[in-house]
Amino acid sequence: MKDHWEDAADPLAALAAGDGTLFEAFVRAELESFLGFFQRLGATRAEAEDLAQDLCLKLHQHAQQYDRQGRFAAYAFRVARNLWIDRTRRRAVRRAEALGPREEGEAGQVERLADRTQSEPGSVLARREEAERLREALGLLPERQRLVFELGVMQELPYREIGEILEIPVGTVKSRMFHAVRRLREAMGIEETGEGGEVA
Amino acid sequence: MKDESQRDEELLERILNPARGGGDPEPLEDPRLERRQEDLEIFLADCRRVLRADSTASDLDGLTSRVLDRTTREDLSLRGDLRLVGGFVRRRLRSSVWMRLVAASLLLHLLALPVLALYAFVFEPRFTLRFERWEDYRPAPVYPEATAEPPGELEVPPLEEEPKVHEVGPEQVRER
Repeated sequence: MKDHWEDAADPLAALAAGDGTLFEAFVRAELESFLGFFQRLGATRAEAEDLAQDLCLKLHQHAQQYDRQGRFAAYAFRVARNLWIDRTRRRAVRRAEALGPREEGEAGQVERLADRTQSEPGSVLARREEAERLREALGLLPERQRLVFELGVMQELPYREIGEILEIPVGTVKSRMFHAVRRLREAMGIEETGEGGEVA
Repeated sequence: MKDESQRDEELLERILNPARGGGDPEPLEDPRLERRQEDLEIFLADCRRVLRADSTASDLDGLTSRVLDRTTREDLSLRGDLRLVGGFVRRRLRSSVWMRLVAASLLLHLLALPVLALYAFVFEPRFTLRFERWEDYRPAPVYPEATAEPPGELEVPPLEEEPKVHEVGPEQVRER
């Protein structure tokens, strides 16, 4: 989602004024990108569908309270991010009850992914395998880095807006983006494993 | 190492935050930086291509209709409510075998109930059920009733004459 829904095309501002056509157009055009957003953050397909639906309902319900000062995209992603945080908290509680502690640390898993790539030097990997590995590597990123990567790379939002959505300074966005990209490249076997995690 | 990370942070910012207004960013002076930026750009474009390819809904049109039915096209009449409930039940039944089994069992029980009732009351009456009001009903006493007295007169032994006691005043005492 880029700049299609700003200013005169703001779906929530139009909805608050009694015109639902822009909101309908927004749902038709952007539902898929929100599905992708939730799936890449780690939701299953069914969960992503539930979350995307909840997001649209929430936006619709709160149209009257919508503050037009910010950009619509930032507002929508802030709501999406809050929905995701709520869901992961609930899921974390359930998972902690059902499973024991992780046997392998995230760093170990990134190395294992990189080893898998390097064990086939020169071979042209099938696109599907490549996608699977990339998704796996994305899933291994700490959530704060995954969110920054998702908003910056996949949703193509500027750093300033990412900072607003996640309520962090732009410097932290830069740092998290750097670490996310670096870890993904390491996991894909593109970059040599260097120094570890993020400080910010 | 610190310089490299700083350099990559800045290159990533350059790639991901192009100048608003569509103008091309200024070219980098160092060719190594230019190559590094290209490398990162290719990687990010690959990420987008690969990760976007597999993020479609199984039934995007259905999902869109469901969202619109609950937002801009919401039908607030009873018919709309019934349609929502019906849609919810259909989706849940489709999503789980166990749910279908439970629903089938429930339906079977509901269908069997009138048949069993008919059998019990019409074809083979084994007992009758009667409701009546009991007019002379008196609640049972809280305490057990006293035992009946033995028949006949009671034999009372004759009383011995008790010694009489007279009151004596102070004058009589002095006389004595």
